[in-house]
Amino acid sequence: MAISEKAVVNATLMAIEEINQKGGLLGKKIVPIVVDGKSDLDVFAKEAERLITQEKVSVIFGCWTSASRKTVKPIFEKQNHLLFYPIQYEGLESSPNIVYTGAAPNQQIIPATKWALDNLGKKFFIVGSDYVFPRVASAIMSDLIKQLGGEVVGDEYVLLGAKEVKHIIDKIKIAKPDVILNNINGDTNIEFFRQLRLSGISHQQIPTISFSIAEDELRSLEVSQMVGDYTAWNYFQSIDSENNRAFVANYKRKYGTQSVTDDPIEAGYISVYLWSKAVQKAGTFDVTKVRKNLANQSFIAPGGLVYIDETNQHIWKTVRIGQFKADGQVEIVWSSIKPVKPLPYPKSRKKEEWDKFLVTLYDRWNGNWANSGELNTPTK
Amino acid sequence: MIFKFIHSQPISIQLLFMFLAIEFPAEIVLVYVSYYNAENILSKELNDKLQTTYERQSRQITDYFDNQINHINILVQIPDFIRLSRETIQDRTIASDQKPFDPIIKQSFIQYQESFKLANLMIVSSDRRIVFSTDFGMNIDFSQINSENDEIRQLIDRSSIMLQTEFSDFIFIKGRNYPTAFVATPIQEESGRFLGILIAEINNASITSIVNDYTGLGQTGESIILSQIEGKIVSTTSTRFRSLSEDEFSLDASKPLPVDEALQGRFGSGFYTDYRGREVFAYWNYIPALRSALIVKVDKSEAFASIQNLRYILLLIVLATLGIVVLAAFSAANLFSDPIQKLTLAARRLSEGNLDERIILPQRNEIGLLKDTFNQMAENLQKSQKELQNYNIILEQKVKERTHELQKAYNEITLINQEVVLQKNNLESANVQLNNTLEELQSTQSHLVESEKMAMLGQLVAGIAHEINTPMGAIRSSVSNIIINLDSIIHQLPEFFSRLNATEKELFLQLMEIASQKDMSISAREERKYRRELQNQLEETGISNAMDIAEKLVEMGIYENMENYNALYVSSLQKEIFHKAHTLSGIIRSANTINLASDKASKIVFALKNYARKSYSGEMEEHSITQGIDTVLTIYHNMMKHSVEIFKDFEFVEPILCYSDELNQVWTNIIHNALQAMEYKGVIEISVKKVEEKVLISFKDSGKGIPQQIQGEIFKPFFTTKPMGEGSGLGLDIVKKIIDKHQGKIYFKSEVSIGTTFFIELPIVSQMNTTPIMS
Repeated sequence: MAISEKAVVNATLMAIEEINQKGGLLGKKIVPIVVDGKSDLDVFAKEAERLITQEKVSVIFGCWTSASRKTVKPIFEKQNHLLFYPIQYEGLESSPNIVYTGAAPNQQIIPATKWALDNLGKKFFIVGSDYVFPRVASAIMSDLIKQLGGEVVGDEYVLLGAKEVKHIIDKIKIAKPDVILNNINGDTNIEFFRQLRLSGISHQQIPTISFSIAEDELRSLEVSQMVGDYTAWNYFQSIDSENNRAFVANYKRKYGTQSVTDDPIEAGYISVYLWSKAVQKAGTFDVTKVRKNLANQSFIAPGGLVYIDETNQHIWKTVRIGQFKADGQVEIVWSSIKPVKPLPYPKSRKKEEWDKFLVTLYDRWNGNWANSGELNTPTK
Repeated sequence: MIFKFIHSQPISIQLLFMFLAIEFPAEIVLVYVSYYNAENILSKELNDKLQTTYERQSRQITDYFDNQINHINILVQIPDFIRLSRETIQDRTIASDQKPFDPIIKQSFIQYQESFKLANLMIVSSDRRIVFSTDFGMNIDFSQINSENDEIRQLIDRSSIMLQTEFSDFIFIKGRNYPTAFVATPIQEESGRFLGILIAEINNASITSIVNDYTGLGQTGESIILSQIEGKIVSTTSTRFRSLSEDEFSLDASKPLPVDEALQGRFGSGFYTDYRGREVFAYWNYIPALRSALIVKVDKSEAFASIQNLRYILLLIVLATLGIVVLAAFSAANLFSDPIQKLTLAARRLSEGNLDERIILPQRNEIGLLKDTFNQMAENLQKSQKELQNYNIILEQKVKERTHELQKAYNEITLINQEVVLQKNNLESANVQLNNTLEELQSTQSHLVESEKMAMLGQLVAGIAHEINTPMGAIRSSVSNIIINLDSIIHQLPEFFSRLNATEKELFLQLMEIASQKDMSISAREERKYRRELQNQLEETGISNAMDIAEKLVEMGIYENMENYNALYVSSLQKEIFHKAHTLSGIIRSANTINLASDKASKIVFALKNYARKSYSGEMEEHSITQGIDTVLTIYHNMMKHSVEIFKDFEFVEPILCYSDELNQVWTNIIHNALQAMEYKGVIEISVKKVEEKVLISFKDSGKGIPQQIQGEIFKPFFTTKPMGEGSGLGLDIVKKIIDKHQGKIYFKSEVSIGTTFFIELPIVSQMNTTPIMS
């Protein structure tokens, strides 16, 4: 995951450099301090606390997995500080100290599932890494599928970073679903698709919709095994707009022609601009005053207009579903055309029910937001 | 200018100016400050008022759309409505589209539409066809919506995939003469099963009633919701001043339009020119659900009317005050100017020669006093005039005489002056010539100084070449020795060593060790003595070949402890051992010779380098005096080594700030002169001492001395006692200049045929700012 996170850091630094080149913010240059969470939740927590209390930063952009975000959330709330979180996630959260610039579940998980029901079939097999995002995503998907008359024929988990997926492929072969909804995050995907194709399942037979594979991740996978499969995001590098072409060109100029842009990269880039607008409005870098000016801030992003919703501090974004092509790019097959309101709590359950669901997961993992593997195996 | 103008004005005007000068600045400052304060307070009040209205309007509109969402969400959860929808969808799916609607179902939908304050309610099947509308057959052409209208199709698509309430943008559709927007929400059964979509048209009248609430917006204020439809910016409701769907545009296209700003998602406030061409003050924001802009504005003329009124009032106050000031100035002027005018008139007549003029005035104040004084003055004038006339005649006579005398004197002075000017010109041209000559001389002098230095160096080079050549010769012959010896011996050595026993080997190596440390200072005579002694010693012990061994050992520098090598003397390989030892040590000796010779050569080169060393910075550097003198002595070594003895008495003196290369030239000159004076034979004593804060350097030679009669001349330039071509006569002149530059002193004492001593004093601590004369 470190590679994906590096790209988001790059996008964040690029936005900072652009703002600095245009004369900075309130007459000052933004100085980025980059720290490495080292894929270790304790390091995330320590570094967040250090950045706030010792480095006295004005804002923090970061975190990749929901586990890392959930670990630092109480720190930001205790210090009354500000985090921009750039990754699509499972929702069920709304903190006054976090701006969620990735997709809420109604901007990715729900429309992609509904689209699959309308276009791909009724029998679903759900796979995921064993931590909070895939677990919640699966619950949202299952609720929806059942409501809409579909069927979940399998729901399987592997530890983050696991290499052994053969048993899941075997179950898929037996269950014969119409669609696979893939919530696996990280390197396990390499093995998953290799085994899936080895077992003779092509995308024509059972298409997969992946929720954590964007253009950047695709580069570390075998593209030929992915062509024809689907993915759902708010942004794709292939978006045909002048704004996006300029963004992609700038990114490639800065980070090499081999580099690609994708949704988390765009969200990281957006985050800096939205923050800078709130700072300009507030006329100060003071965190509390900046937070008060976040509502209704907007930015014409590479993927279209984005807008911070005043009720939940998530952003209005355009929803897109795409299909992987052989050149590593994505062809857009469905788009909401205009930005849609973010809703962090899906309607299939009440807020209290969702909160209880989260507590159950947290307790099951002994006070963690991911299955560390100390429990015997991924539990169902 | 202005004062001149004022001074030429009548008193009344002057008084007016004075009054204004006192009153006007104070009034202006007062008016400006009060205006500025009032404007600030008013602007802020206005801004606050408008912002409050804007926030209320914005909130009302947001609430309206939120309510629409809530209403429609409540509606789709009513079981009866779900049942109606399900039946309608099933009915239309099975039956053909042309079949007339069940009037009861239609009536039920219309009731829902009315009680939820929606306009036109539509049901869309899960396969995305509009199967029912409360407006069917009335106004809207639904075939168009079903087939063509992108916005409605997109809305249906978005709502059915997103499964949430969604708004369309504002659009024009057939059957409506105003822009309209739609809201869509999925209809799901209690189990969650997806039935279709409910679409409701947003009630334009409701929006209009909210937007057209002008509370707090005065006579010209209004709120407008603007949307971009087919590339044009359109008001979605009637505005206060124009009927529906007027385009909102700015007359001033160069400024960014708040409409554009808002439609790009941004909020803000400021002035702009609206669709009526009026300048307005506005707040604007973005309504994300409808991708529209809300602008709340009021005409600047109305908003700032109170400020305008304030301006008028203040202007009136200023004008009124001015009027009062003018009036006061004129009445004051009358009080003073009447008597003054009378005085003026009388004075004028008096000046015209009417000395009988007298004034009558009622005033008993300062003006009355002035009148009395005037009358007295007129009296006196009359008296004086007569006396004056008499004096005048005498004066005229005297003036004539004096004028004549002055004219004469003036003529004389003019003549003298002409002469002086002439002489001054001559002097100036002479001065220019002298300056030119001086410049030429200066350049000639610096050439001469340089050539003096080069001449001295030339003389030295021959000697130095010899000094370097001698060690080079020694090196060359040593190298050739080494080559010959090595060549003759090297291939025999391995075999030779294999034949020696252990003791012989050790002793042989000892011989080599001692030979390598040979004292090169032993003279040939001493060597002969040692050889004889050794030969005798060996012969006494009956060693064969004693003479040969003795010669070789002595040459190898082995004079002592001969008995240690007894084992070698009696060895069967004796002859070969000593031959080889001698040859090998010869190589070592040659190497030592090379070492000594190259040391000597490098010493000379080092001295030469030091001598030629020059400060490139052109600034003083810390340098040791004694080291400088040693450098010069090394260079002169060749000329002195045979018949000149040098005695040095150097105390330790820390390095001083100086131009070291120039001081080297001083030492060279003095030593060179000394050597010439004593014809390169005799004694030179050099001493360096620290005396108080000075270094005292003395050079005493045993030369022929300087005759009394030329002692005063020697520091003068071009003075020389040497034959033509040998000295330039600049040497000691330059020495003097260098010492002067170091703020030092040079003097000497000399006795014919006994010798001369030159003394030089240099200050140790000093910061001098002169520049080197030779750089």
